[in-house]
This record gives sequence, C-alpha cells and structure tokens, in this order.
Amino acid sequence: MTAAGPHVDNIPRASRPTPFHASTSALNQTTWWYGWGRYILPDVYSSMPEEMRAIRNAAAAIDMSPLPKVQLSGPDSLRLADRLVTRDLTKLAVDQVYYTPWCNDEGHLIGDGLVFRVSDDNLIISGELSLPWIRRQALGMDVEIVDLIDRLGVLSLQGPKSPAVLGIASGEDWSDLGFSRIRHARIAGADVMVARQGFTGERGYEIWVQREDGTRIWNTVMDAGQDSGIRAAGEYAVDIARIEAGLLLVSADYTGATWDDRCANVTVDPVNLATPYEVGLGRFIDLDKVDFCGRAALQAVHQGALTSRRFVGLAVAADQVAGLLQQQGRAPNVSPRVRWDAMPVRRNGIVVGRATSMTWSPELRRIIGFGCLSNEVDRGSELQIDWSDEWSTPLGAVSAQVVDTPFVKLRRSTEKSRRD
Amino acid sequence: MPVSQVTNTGIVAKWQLGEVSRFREDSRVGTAFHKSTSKRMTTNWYFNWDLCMVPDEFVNYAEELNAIRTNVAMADMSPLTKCVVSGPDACNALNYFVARDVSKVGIGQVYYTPICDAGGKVMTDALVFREEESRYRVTSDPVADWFAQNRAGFDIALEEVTDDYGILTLQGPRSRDVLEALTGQDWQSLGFSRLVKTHVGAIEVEVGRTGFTGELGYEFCVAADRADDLWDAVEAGGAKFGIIPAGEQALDIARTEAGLLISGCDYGQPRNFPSGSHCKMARNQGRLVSPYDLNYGAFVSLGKDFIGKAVLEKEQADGGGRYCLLGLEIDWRAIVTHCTDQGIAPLIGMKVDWEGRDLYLNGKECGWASSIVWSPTLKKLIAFAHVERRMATKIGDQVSVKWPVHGGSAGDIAATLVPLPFVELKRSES
Repeated sequence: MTAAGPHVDNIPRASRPTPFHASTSALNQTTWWYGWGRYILPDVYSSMPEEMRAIRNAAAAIDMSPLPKVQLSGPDSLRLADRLVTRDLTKLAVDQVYYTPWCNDEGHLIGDGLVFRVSDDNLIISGELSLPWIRRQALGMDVEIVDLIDRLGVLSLQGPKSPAVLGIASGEDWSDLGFSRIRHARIAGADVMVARQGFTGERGYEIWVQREDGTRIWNTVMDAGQDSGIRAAGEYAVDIARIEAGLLLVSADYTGATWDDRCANVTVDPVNLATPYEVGLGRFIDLDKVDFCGRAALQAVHQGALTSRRFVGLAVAADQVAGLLQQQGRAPNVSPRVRWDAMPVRRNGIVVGRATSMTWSPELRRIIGFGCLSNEVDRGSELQIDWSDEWSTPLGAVSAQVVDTPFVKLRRSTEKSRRD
Repeated sequence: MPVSQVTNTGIVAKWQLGEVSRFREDSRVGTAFHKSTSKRMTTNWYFNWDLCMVPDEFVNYAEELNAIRTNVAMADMSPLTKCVVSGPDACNALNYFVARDVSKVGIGQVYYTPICDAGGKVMTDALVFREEESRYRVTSDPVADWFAQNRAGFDIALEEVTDDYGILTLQGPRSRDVLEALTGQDWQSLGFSRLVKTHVGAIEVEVGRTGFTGELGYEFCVAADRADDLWDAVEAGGAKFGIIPAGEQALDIARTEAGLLISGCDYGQPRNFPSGSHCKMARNQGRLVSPYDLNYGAFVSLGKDFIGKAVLEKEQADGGGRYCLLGLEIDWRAIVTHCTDQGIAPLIGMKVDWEGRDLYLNGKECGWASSIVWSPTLKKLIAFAHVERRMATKIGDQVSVKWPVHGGSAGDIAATLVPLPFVELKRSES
C-alpha cells in the first residue's frame, strides 16, 4: 500500500495535499512526511510503536488517498475489468469487493488491489495500477475509464474497535456488514462509500469520500473514536502492520512488471519480477475463466506445477544487528524504518534468495520481513542474511530463522470484533 | 465530544484539531523549487517546515552532510518565512516587537534578534534586514500574525512575502568557488551577513553571505517563477566542483553540530505564539526559555521598550536566566546495551529529535536534552543540554538522560557536558 504510485505525467512527486491534509497536518507532531505518488502523507504522527498499538488494540485512522483508483463504467466495464485481473469477476456481486492480483502477458505481477462492483456496469479498481495499460486493454470496448485519484479521499479505519467508531460516526450499526462488502452511508452530512477491507490484518473499513468532504469526515471519525482510543497512524506504522499481516507489497518485496517511477532505494532487477504463484497468490488465479492478461503464461506455470521459489517469513534477533553496527562503529539504529531494498540470503555460504521488507516489529519484538527463497530451502534451515546499510554497504552476516506468515493472527474477516 | 476538549487520550493532547493547521485548501505543499528537488530524490522522505514540504533526504543523508562539511551542497531554504514591515513607524514598531535594538541596523545590514512574548519567553528568533530607512524584512518562523496582534498604535504595513521567493543556499568550503563560477565575480570581499544584488546568467538574484551549517555559505533569494531556472543553473555550474543537493536531515544535523538552535525543536514555544510548530518540543510549556537561558543576553537591548522587557529586565538584575546552554555527548553504547538486554532494538535517531528528553544530575531532574542526533561527522551521539544554573555544572561533568524505551523500561543513560559548538565554525572567516 505504501509503494510510490505509478508514474503520473508531469505532476511532481509529493506536490499535492490529500483531501485530509488540513486535518492530518494539524495532528502531526513530528516533521516527518512521506511522498506517495503525487501526494504527501504523515510518516509518523507521534510515535510509530504507539500508532502500531492503536492499529492492533484499538482503532486507527489512516489516510490512503494516494492509492491509485480508476473507475470503469459502461456496457463493457465488467468485461474490461475481468480481462485485467486474474480472478473471475463475473462472480463479483454488486456491493462486493474482490482482492485480486493483475499481471502482464508474461504472467508477471503488475500489482494487486481491490475491485469494487458499485453497480452492474460501474466498477472501481484501486491498487498499483498503470492507466496506459488499462487503456491499451480497453481498445475496441465500450467503456469509459476515469482516473479518480484527484477526486476522492480514502480514510482507512482499522483496528478491533473500528466498527464501534464507524457506528458513532455514521449513526448506523455495522455489525452485519461482512468482509469485502460495500455499504453506502452518511458521515457528517456527506455521502460516503464504505467497504469492509484493509491492509493491516485487523478488522477495518475503507471510507471513500468526495475530496471536498475530507476534513469534516476525518474530524468526525476522530471525534467518534475518542472513547475507543483512536489515533491517526502514519505510513511507517502502516508499512509494519502489513508486514506483520504477511502482505507483500509491490516495489518493496517484488518488482512490479511495468515501468514506473518508484524510488531508487527499491531494488529494481528483472530477477525480482514475480508470478502470483511465487508470492503465494495462486488461489486468486481463475484459469478457467475466459481470456485475461497473463492467462497463457500463468497456465504454463501452473501446469509445470512448480515454481522454483516462494516467499516465507524471516525473523532476526535485534541484538545481532546491533552487534554488527557496534563492531563497525556505526550509528546504533538497528532498524531505520522498513528496508525496501533486498539483502541476499545464504545457506552454507550459497545464495538461496533475498530478504525484503526487513523491519523491527515493536509488537513482536523481533526484526521481521520476508524471504524469497529457493524451494529447496526447508523450514529448519540455518540461514544467514548479508546485512547491509540502506545504501548497500555490506556490514556482515546475521543468522535468520524461517517463520510462518502471517506474523500476527489475521482478524480482518472474523465476524465478531474482540471485547466491545 | 470535540477533540479539543480531550486532554487525556494522548492523541492531540494540547492543541485543537483543525485550528492549529495554517494549511488552506489552496496551499501548495512544495516550495518554488519543488519541481526541481522532487525529481532528484531517490527516497520518499519529506520534512515539514511550516506549510511546506522539503526533501528530507535526497539519496544518502550522510553523504549530503559530508558535502556540506568538506565540499559544497545546495539546499532549499524557501519555507523560512519572510515578513516585510514598512511605513512611517516601521522602525519603532519592529523595535517594540523584537528584543534587540534594530534602530541601529544600517540599510543593507542584517541583525540577529530573539522575539519574546510578554513573559520574556523566546517565541522565535529572526534575522532583521533593513532594506530601506522605513522598510525591514524579517526572516524567521511565521511572525506576521504575532506582529499584527501587537501593532496597535503603529502606522505600519505588514506583508508576508514568503511565497514570492525561493531561497537556495550553497553551503560548504567550496561554496565561494561555485558562486564565482556562476557569476564571474569575486566574492572574497563580501563579509558575513552582508547582501548584494547580482545575476546568475539572466536570472536576477540577491546573494547573502549567510547560512546555518557553520560552514562558509551563501544564499540566493530569487523570484519564485525563476526558481527552477536558478536550481538548474547552480546544479550545472556546480557540477565541476561536485555539488550535490542536501536534504533537511543533513541540514538539521549540520546546524546541531554547529551549535545552532531552533525554536520549537530545542525549546518550547509559548502557547500564545499564533503560528507555532506542531512538534512535541514546541508544545512543551515546561521548556520555555528566556534569551538569557540561551546565552543570547547580548541580543537583548534593555535600553528600549519591547515586548517582554519588564520581565527580562528583572531576570537580568537577578543574575540572568534559569538555564545554561551546553553541548552533550551521550554514551550511545549504553543505549544499545540497555535496549538489547531487554531484547529490544535500539532505535537511535538518524534524524534530529524534535521532542527532547529529561536530564538528571545525581538523580535530580536538572533540565532537558534537545536535538539529540547521531553525528556522522563526529561519530558520536550529540545533543544540546539545557541545565539549571543552580546545579553549577561545568564542562566535563556527567549527567544522565532519561531514555524511554517502548515496550521496556526507560534507561538512565550517561552523558557528558561538553563545549559548544561541536564543530569549528568557519562561516565568518574570510
């Protein structure tokens, strides 16, 4: 969710305020901001661990507005959407959301995200998208493609108390809205579209708002969350939340299969392209449906019945990295945010993959991240990571354990929220 | 319940949602150089400086800092607000607003001065440049609102002109070489704090010899619509000297190493400052200071009337401020041990801390540490120490910093009082 967005014509990066900027800038007690596509967001409001704790134990308001979103409408809208993504959208009901990957013709992931079926012939796709790619696929179709990025804001309300907060903000009961379902409501007198979804592993809602309603909706939600201990959470906490939830991010964990302007701190290398099978998304590929982008290539991979590598969880003890830094007389910051660059992983001295998204998890008290490892590496293997600084200066080896993902229990689709 | 009434949940403890934000829907978030700078960043990190976002790190902050110290770097200083005070009472009004006697500033000259509230507490500090007899330009945190609140009885005009200009700074030992290559002029004779108008190619600029890094440096002030052109020209002209752009992270560390303080980062801002910072230190009303606490006594002119004078006069008569300002070297290895003993990662900031931490002497609270940061130049964890005078501490004494650890117990980390600045200042040498 935190990836630098797709390249957007001549609009400078980080040059625009989101619809919630007046509210988020008043709440931000640090100077740290994060550029995402043409927009800018708070990176840390106050304390990353406190913001993490709110996501896991209470409720958090997260500005997700920079996520690209495109509306498809007209007679061929479903046909186009179905052609773009790997899941069978003919099964997608009105007022339902699908999470799905999308691939290029070689079967490599371009990105992933959500498809909203707003009405029969009106769909919205949000995620790491390429507008030119969508337009190319639409040739000859009767469909209108509208870029919604500057029109709408998305307030993601996450955490076990999110239904209660949303209830107070909207004056409605949300206990019967199932996971991945959409409902229209009103907050602060404004129309909103609410989808039960999220990227943190917790129960949560995406509240879609018109740009001009942003400030009052944000403020109403924050007021509604007072008794629940709501906090605004910045990109740093959100990035860690998705790692703990075992969710891979294009650009950080693998390279998206289209050209874009992602930051150079990301390891861009063709070897880091990935198929959905390799990143554990095989269950979201409907090979039975009519043609879609990448189908032939994915079918071949599927029939081959194996991919040579897969993603696993990795864990490293903090004192190992601290020790390395200390030996080198380096600044004692074990985890400068989330590492979006890859570090080589070895077994018995031989490189068997790469480690990505390595970060300190304050809740789990370990350095965690993902390993994209050769299939022959078993769970119990003794692994080492060639640890480096963010500018790829080698620091030395640390030992890593293979662990299960998600790192935390996913609660986003459970029907009952915890206590309260 | 409105957020503003809630003080115990920790989300917005002390200020009001929506009210403090000076941001308006039509505000831009980038400076006049944003188009140029955003293209050159390989990170996603921005720094909020008043209403603007400037690059925090272009590529590698340590290399950017090293360029400032050993070669030359270019940086965007545009968000610093500029307020013009003009009219028949300009001199008298400004003399009432600020602590130092600005009637003595010559035309074309710059004075540094603190700006205090009625309680004698520093709100911010400013550079006052006298453009004409009755026209001053004040460069500082946003002060236009504060001046407007205090202008009664003065025949003056106030105008904030921040957005009309871009400010590009050249900092580092080779900054003069770059400036000479760009202008074809000799700049040896321009003294520290002096300004002149000149051209870079066809671009009109004002050049001031100034800076906030401790190094030799110059600042260009350029019309906003020529800012990108100037950026390109400086980058092209500086290429043969190896110029690189430096982000705010490097600049913030550079000024800390040079012993230079920032209102709202190193000390609190009185709550009645109408356009203060949101940072935790800025909001901390327990860490307000007088000019004497910062060793700024020389900039307080008690021979004239100004806001805060009565209190400061008494303070001076009583022997000066409550605090003294010193440097601090913190035993970072003790932090690593303290954290890893608890199985917790030491997350010592690579960015300057804008919150502050309590200082103790022999178990008694004695002040606070501010601007805590790892200095890549010195390979030490440094900070400013604001220590109560009555403790009679001196250079070389040991104190301890209360070091909170999320998910674990706070540490009492040993630290040594050291002289300021941390690096040798070269900005006013010839």
